[in-house]
Amino acid sequence: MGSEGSPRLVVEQDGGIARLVLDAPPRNEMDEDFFRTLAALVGTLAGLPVRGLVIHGAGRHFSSGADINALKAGLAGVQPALAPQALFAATSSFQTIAELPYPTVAAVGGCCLGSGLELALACRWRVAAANAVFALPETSFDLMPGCGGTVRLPPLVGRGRAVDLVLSGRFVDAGEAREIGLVDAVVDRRGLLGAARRLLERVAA
Amino acid sequence: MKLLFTPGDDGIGTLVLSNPPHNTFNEPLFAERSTVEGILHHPGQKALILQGEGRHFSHGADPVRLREQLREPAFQRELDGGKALLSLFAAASVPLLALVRGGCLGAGLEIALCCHFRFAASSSLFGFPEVELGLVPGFGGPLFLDGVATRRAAVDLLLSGRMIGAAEAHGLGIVDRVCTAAALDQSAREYLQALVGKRTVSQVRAVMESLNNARRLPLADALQRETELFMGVARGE
Repeated sequence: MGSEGSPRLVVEQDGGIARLVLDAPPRNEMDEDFFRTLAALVGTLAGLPVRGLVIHGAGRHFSSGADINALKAGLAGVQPALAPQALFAATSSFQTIAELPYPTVAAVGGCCLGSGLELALACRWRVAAANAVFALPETSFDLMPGCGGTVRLPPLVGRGRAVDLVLSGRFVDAGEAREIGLVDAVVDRRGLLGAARRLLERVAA
Repeated sequence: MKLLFTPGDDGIGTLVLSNPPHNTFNEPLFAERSTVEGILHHPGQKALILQGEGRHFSHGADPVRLREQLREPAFQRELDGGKALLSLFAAASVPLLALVRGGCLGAGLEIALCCHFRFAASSSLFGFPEVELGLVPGFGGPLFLDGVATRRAAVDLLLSGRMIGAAEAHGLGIVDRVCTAAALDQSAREYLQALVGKRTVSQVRAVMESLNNARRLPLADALQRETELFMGVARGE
């Protein structure tokens, strides 16, 4: 087992399966530092000698997404790093994950919101714990999803449901997420990582 | 067929398909392209309800008339023109909700399937009766069914031509919500109000453009455009 990355984002390898851990509990929020670290890390993911990747959050939640206040401050020019290029860099990092040369699973417990959900959407599959909740709440904050969510959601859930979820910003529990195709399986919270791992071992066997 | 459009003060407009009693499509090219574009881009509008005049949504084409039209050399071109109108609905920059009472058949069902949502009265009926006449749905129905109903349900409806009620249509995913005819209008307005009431016009249009790009642009272009749209919304443009 090996481990690398920053304190915020850890890559571990175990038995031919890699894990990318969003490691900023409790909410594993995605701030500027997170996206910078991710951008530096995704390039190395493709070269890992593994058969699959599980992405999950440390602790109870997957990720609450970006901090809306920080994002708005950034957009207002207070933090000039959050220019369109920076935003598109986040989208590019997610796209690199979507194009990894091995299968990927997001193992989602607790909150999976905003850019957290957009990261999960970049994975080939999503396995959810029964306590998972999903939303793209950006429109409720006078914004819209900006890391691939509006592009990846329609083929997964259908265009009507995509309109409903993005414009309403409403929260969807694990059961509904399974019903509409947003997640592929719902499992017990304690069995989450094991289920994600077994899924990869099955398809990569 | 007349298209009667009324913009809404609350941003929720209404479009009535009017050719009573069955709101049949007499011509495949049922409206001017510019008319449809004008309705879908009407300033200040954030959502649109489509409904039929009177008791029915629409029974689609008149089969007797259609038989005659099929012999006319211009028919294929007009059919393509009609389909292009439906594509405009399908790629609308505001959410469309089909409010279905009575029959929603053939081309009527195809236009309802172009909408993002279908709310139906419990007594409404859905189907492709043209199949029984040896025809196939000609307005893109097979394509619009994909992604709404399961493939199995789509094959069933498209080959059997059987008519189904609102409850079964709901079970197949074709209808999102079923309620009594009396409660239908309020149910639709409340849903759309909750969906877009607090959103700005530019926010709705940016979201809809990006969602539409998911299937009309290559992935890389759609992602790039999403960033631009996001920045536009964030800057309040």
